[in-house]
Amino acid sequence: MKGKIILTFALALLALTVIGFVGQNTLTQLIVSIKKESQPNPKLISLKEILSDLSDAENSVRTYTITRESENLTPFYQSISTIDNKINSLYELTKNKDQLKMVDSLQVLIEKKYSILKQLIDIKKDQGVEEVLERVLENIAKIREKSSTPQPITKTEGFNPDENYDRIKKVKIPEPRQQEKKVSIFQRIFGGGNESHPEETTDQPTELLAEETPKAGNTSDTVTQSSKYRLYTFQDSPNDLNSSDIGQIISKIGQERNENIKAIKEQELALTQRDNDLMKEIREVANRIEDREKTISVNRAEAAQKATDKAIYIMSLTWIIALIIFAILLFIIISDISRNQKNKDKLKEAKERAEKLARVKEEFLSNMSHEIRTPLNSIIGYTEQLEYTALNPNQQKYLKNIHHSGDHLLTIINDILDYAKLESGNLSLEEIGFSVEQQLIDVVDTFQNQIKKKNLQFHYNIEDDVSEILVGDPVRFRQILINLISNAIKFTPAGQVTVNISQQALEHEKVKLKLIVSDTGIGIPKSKLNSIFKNFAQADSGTTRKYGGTGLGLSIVKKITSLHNGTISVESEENTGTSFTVELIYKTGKKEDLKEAKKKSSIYHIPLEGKKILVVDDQEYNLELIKVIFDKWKIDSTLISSGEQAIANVKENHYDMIFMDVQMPEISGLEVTKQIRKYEKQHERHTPIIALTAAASKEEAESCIKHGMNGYLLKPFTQKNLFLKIAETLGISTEEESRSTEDATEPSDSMNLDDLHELSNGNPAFVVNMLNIFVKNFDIDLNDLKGALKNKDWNKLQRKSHKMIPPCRHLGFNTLMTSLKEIEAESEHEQDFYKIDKLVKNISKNYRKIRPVIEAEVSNIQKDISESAA
Amino acid sequence: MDIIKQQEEVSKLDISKRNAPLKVFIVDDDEYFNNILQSYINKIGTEINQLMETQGFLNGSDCLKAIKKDPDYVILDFYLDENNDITLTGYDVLEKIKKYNADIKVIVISQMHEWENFKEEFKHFGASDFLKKDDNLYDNLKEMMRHSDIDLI
Repeated sequence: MKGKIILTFALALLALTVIGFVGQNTLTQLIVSIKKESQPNPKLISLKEILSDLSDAENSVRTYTITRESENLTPFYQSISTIDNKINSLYELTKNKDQLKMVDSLQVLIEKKYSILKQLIDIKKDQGVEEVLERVLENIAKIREKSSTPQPITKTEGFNPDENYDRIKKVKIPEPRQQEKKVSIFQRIFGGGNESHPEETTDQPTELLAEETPKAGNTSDTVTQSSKYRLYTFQDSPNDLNSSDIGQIISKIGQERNENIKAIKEQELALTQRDNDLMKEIREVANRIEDREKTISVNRAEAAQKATDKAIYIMSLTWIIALIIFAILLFIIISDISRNQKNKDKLKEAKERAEKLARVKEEFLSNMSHEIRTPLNSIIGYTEQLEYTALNPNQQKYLKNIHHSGDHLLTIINDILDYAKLESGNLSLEEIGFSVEQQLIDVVDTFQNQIKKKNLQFHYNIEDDVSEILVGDPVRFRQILINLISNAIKFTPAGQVTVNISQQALEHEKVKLKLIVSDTGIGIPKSKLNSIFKNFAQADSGTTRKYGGTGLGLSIVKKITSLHNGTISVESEENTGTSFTVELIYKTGKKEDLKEAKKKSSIYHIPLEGKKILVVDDQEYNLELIKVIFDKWKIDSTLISSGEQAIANVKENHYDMIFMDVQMPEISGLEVTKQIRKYEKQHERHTPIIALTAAASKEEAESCIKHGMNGYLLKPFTQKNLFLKIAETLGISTEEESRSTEDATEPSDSMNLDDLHELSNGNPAFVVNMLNIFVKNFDIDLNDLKGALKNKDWNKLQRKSHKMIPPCRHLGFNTLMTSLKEIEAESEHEQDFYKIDKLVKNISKNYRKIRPVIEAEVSNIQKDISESAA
Repeated sequence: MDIIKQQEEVSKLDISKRNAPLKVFIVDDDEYFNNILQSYINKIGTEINQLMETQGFLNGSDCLKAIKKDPDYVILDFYLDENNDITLTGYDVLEKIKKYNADIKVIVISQMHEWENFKEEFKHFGASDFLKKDDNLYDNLKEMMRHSDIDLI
């Protein structure tokens, strides 16, 4: 692509250069030829000058012949002196060989002409002498008339004056042109047989040139001859002075003179003619030179024309080629660009699709979470409610299993959702104060059963320097603890699990919390150590089969750790144990930071009696579940399954608060809220609205608040969550019962009536009696216990708790028994009021759950008794 | 209480059928466990084919008042602390029973495991045996009764 564009530009540049170069060349050529054309041709000028000089010379000679005044000859001599120069300059100007030849012949001709002219002049000069003689003769004739007529000289006849004529005539002889046959050396050298016409033209001057030499010789000969002759006659004439002779001689001489004159005249005529011929020839040659010059200039013009044409041709050719290449390259580039664009579009499309997929995935997850959580809400909620009804031990066991499975399922779903959120980076950390120890104890409590079942030893140690309160996200801290501890327990068949927490102070009130969870379990093979933090990875697939789990735990821990800017590392040896070390960054907090968290863990439902609460949910089961709970709390509840009805109801009634499901089929909870708020604005009312949502992310839940809701309750919720939310919304203080109500969701001890039934010998009354006794005594004992605690009567506490243990054991209330035992031990040795207080509260909390079960059992059995009696 | 009386009547009926029902006093301040123990004794009685007569007392003084009934066995919770009656702990009751009639067999029962080490101590004080309040209570009790039964015959 880039290369192609560069190539195009290079070609364009090249084409432009070629065109420019050719154009410039042609233009200069044109300009030169035009310049040459516009300048007068010096050759022609000098030729013309030569010609005019010649004619001047001729004219002057003519004038001289007529006038016989020697001053008239000045131009002639001038021209002779200048003509050479001019011819030389012509030579210099001429470069063409043909022209040189012509100029040569021209020069020769001109020289001939000049010699002829000189001859003419000479003849004229002689004539002048003869005229003097003529006058003498005339005088003699006059004398003769006076005396006798002199006899003409006869002797002279022997001199044969005819010879002169002959000679003159001889001069004349070569006059007629006898061209053709003589071929000059020039011709032999240069004259090729190929050019027919120029041969002819060049032929003539050469011939003339060749011919000239003998002619010139002849003429000079004749001139000297004639002068000799005249001299002779002069010498002879005075010899005989016989008057008649003289007369005769004179007349003879006169005759001769006349004849001579005649001959001279003839000669002159011939010379003139020759001169004319010469002149003609010269003119011809000049014309030829001129013609040649013209042809040359025409040729030059033609050459210029040709060059221009060629240049135009080259230019247009280059132009066309460049254009074609341009077009091709442009096409290629455009196609490249369009292909690029197409690819870009495709990429964009793919990206959009990927984004859409990611969105769909997220939506799917949130939908899934909703879809799963909603029924799970019912399952767990009803299970919870069932636990408060009278059940026989088997049923209790089944129910416990259901509850446990429900919780487990919820944990898995939460794990997956957390993982998805962590993966997409949607998870944000809270900044809440929490107690490290409290969190740890809470987590360990939930594992108590498992630990006991596997007969493991569990130790935890929080070093003294660890800050009591840290600020961070307790939920995530718990998650890390839960994952690591559950892993440790899961993979440790026997031995111990140890948790150690230490702290290292950093700058700006930050601390690095170091958490080490080690076990004496099966360990992880060296080769697998690297992959355990990967998603869905367990050391091997066999592990999954044997120990179960999603394999998400550690990768979630790792992701949460990195969210905390922390590190996680693992040391492990097969069959010896594994040790996970997690380092997390937290801020140190103060007691005040804790308050909120504490407040949350309280339940005391008496203040809710008589409250009017509207519940809107399209899920029948959920509605019923809430109704069951609300009925128990004696809340005046209105249950509605459609949004529109809810709006109508709100208009007619006044509610203390509203629970609103967000995802409803017809109108969403958000829309309903909007309309209710609109209505309320007109009537200056404000009912707190709490969203019931199975939202997967906190952000989604927060959006409910943006839509005018006061808060949200995440599904699945426990009874405790529900209570707390109502209490919080209605501003009911639950401080009084705080702490005693922690872990209300923990399944209560199941009652074991096996022994009683066995002892009863088929008499249900016995069981009823025993149960009544238990309840009656436990009530009293619990109060005594509380009283003793208040008075810090350790002794009594010990004895009371001691006494309370056996019945609890007998009925299978293990949790109660454990707590009582702890109280007994505690009050005997350490007397930690805080701890015992907590234990007592635990017992009363548990007992509150157990008592209804016992009562229900009693009423059940009594019903059976009365039925059988009837 | 009516039910308990009913039960007692039933036991009495059994005793009347058999020649010599075993009289067992149970002293435990926890009513629930007291009842349980009575039930256990009765159950053991049916299992070993021995008529049993049980009577429960929630404190030592009641038991001592009824001691003239000459029970064969007294199952005594050592940890009698009802109403802070430190004057009449398990020790005192044991002592007094033995003073009244050394033949009355007293089984000390407690759920304080560490007291198991004092088994010999208890015996020294006149107790026939020591029972832990644990899951094996019933079986241990049954075993004891059986042995004593053999002893009696």
